[in-house]
Amino acid sequence: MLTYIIRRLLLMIPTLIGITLVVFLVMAMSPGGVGGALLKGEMGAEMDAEKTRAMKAYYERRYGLNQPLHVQYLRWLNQVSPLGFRTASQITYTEEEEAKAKTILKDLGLADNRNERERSYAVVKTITAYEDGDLVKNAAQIGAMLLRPKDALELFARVDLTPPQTLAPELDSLLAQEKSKRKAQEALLKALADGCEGVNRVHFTKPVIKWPDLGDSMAKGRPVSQLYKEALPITLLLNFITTPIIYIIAICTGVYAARHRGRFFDVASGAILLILYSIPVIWMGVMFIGFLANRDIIQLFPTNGLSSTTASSMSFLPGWGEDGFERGWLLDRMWHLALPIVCMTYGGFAYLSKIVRSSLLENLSADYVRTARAKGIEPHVVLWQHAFRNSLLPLITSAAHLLPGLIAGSLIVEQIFSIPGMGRLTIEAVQARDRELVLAGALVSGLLSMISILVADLCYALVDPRVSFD
Amino acid sequence: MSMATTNPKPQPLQPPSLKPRVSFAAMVIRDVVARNGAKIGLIWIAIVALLGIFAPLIASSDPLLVKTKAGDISSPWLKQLNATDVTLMLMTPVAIVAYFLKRFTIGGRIAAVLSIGFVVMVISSITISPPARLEFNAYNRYRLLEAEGEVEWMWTAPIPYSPNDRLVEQNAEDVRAKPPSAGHWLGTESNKSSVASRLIHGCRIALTIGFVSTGIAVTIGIVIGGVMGYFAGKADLLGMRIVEVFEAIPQLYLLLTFVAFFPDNPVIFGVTIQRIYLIMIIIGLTSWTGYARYIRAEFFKLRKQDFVQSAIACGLPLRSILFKHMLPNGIAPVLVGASFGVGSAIIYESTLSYLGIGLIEEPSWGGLLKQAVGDAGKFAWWIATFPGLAIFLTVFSYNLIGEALRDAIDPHTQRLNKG
Repeated sequence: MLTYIIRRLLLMIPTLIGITLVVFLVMAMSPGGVGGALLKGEMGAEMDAEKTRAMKAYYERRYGLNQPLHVQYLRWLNQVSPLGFRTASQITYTEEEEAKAKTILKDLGLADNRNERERSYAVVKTITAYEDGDLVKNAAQIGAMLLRPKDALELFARVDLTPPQTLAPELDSLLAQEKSKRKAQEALLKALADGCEGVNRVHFTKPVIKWPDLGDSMAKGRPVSQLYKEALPITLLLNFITTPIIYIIAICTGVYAARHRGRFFDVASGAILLILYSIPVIWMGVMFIGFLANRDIIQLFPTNGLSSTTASSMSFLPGWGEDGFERGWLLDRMWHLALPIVCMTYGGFAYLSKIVRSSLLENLSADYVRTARAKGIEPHVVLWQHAFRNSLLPLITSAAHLLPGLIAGSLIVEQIFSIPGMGRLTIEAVQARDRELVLAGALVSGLLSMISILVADLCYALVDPRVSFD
Repeated sequence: MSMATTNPKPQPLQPPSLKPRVSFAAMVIRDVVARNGAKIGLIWIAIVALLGIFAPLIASSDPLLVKTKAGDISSPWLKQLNATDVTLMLMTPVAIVAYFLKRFTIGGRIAAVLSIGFVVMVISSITISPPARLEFNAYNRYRLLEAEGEVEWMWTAPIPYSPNDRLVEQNAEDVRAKPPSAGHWLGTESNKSSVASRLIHGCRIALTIGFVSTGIAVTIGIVIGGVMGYFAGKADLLGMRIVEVFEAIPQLYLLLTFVAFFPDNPVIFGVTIQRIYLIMIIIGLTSWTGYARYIRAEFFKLRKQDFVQSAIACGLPLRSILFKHMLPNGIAPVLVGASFGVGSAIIYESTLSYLGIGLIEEPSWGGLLKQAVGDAGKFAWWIATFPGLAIFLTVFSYNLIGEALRDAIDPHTQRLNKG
């Protein structure tokens, strides 16, 4: 069993690489380019040409967009892989070392203003991390070099960069006059810091085991993992409420319909379930918001969000307060979740209860059930312990494919009901062409789906003793 | 043996009849059409198809015929038609007539209709240049002429508004979307276009997207699934990894990424692809895995059977073994899946358009639905109800047909249901 699980987990790696590669290639092939939408500015208004160029240069530097495709992809892969090379930006130093390095730079006179302080420190840190050197020692050495702009041009080579072509003549002209020496220093520092900034300069010394880094979102400028930490619990909450509801309703209707085959309930539920299965979620959601959460028609439910604005001051459980009934945090949350949950469940149970019904019917007409009945075993024991247990297999198979469906379903529902979960995040990311966020989304949802398929396969062995993985 | 007891008199050997007995396909079709659910579904889809084909005739702001006071009779409507409109509207009556000409064989009739259709398509695409609707408010011109008394008589379409007419109703108050009224049976949407007109023109888009994208998906599925099932071994291992890659990401996520990262009219290999075709291709490219699995499973079963083995032994070319002998015997589950697939392709398209990254200019049902909420928080029930109902009924019809097809093909479920 354990070997089987390990083998399956290892097989996930090529599949995950395949998934991200497909998504990566589609993004790279798109003529607008990665991050293209970010350059449009607010409300689609065109920014002036110079600003656009500067922004574009920034994104290219920051995310290495000007490199060949395979290099970009391998860099990203290295960044998310738990076993790989650390990039310069991931190497950290102790606070003590940092403080020492900063004081050295300050003493050298490289901390006149905030820009200069940050840039000089970033340059020292990147070069040190890149060479795996000693921060304090490097601070003194590099700091001294930074004061002599001509010598400092050599620093570019230490991080495998070539200085911009215009830089050397510019420095020459600036250094020609004594009073603009300061300006030369600034220009050089800026060019160096730009080169070092965010660059995923890979540190090819030894592979290490590290915490996967999903990168920084282009559009939001925050780490993707941080964004997910906020959004993932909400989507998981929706899915954890939805799944049991789907199963309970599906099993109840499916079993009842199978037991009363051909009767009114069977025919009626068959028709109603097919109707439910055919209703698009977007229509259901729009109708709910329009008719049940509308001030002009019926305001039964809130239109958006996860809780009221006053939710944080509510008590957890409902109770009687000074102004009569108070609904409390829990009830408020349930009230907000009611419509989204309905939208997410109906398609699932309509689909599942048909499967329950047909697989139960198949088993009920099997010989062993007739034998059991003939032996005089009680009908409900025959139904639940003989027939139902055997019809669980197709139910488990479909459960594996339910999770990807639920992730996609919550995508639409979250958009309709303005719930700040993974779905909303994904749609925003896709619209902004945010490479890091889209790739991370493909990775996370792919991983979740494959784990659910694995769990379903393991459940087979649990339900059916004939299935064995050894 | 029981045969001998029921048939005591030996039958004389008869020459094999020249007329083939009813084929399996014909039996299935007859069985499906006989079911009530499938009948409802087929009727609704026929209605949608006819509405879509004759959409320009039903809803257009250009008068079909107009006679001015000066005495000229002209048809501004004809000038607005493009080659597709002409081919579709001419060929549908031809096909209907051909259906009732029972004297000829089915194959002959289909070939005749297709060849006439091809000729019409070629001629019309050479002779008819795509209309350029440059003037804004073109729909108003003839109405103004009529108001000024320049027009002697005018014959307009039943719904005298084109789908992309903006501001058809110049009402004084700033309510853009107006509820149904005598002039607009289904109201207007937030660009003040007629909802009825957009709905009718959307029929064609919905059906085309459903059919074409499912066709693409089925083709890819058959090719990849067939290769996996027939060759097995390494081809199967590799193929299943590809299938897994596509199945592990939620399809909607893949669709969103694919659609959003392509611009409006991308140029691929020197050919400009319209957004609507791009969406069809992308839906097709992301939904083939199920069909590949079906075909693979069927081919696994078939390749060991005697008739396939003997076809191989006879030295038939691979093409013939795969497509002539194996495919017709293994296609049934794919067809059932495809009829559900058409429904879900329609849902995917409307979801994309609802999310605002699908069709933009074209009158898509999902795009209409998007405008129901959002116009300054006002809920326009007519925009929510009618397009939503159209999507639902069409998807429901396809699902009904799919269920009937599944029951007709699979004798097992038939037995279970009839008990």
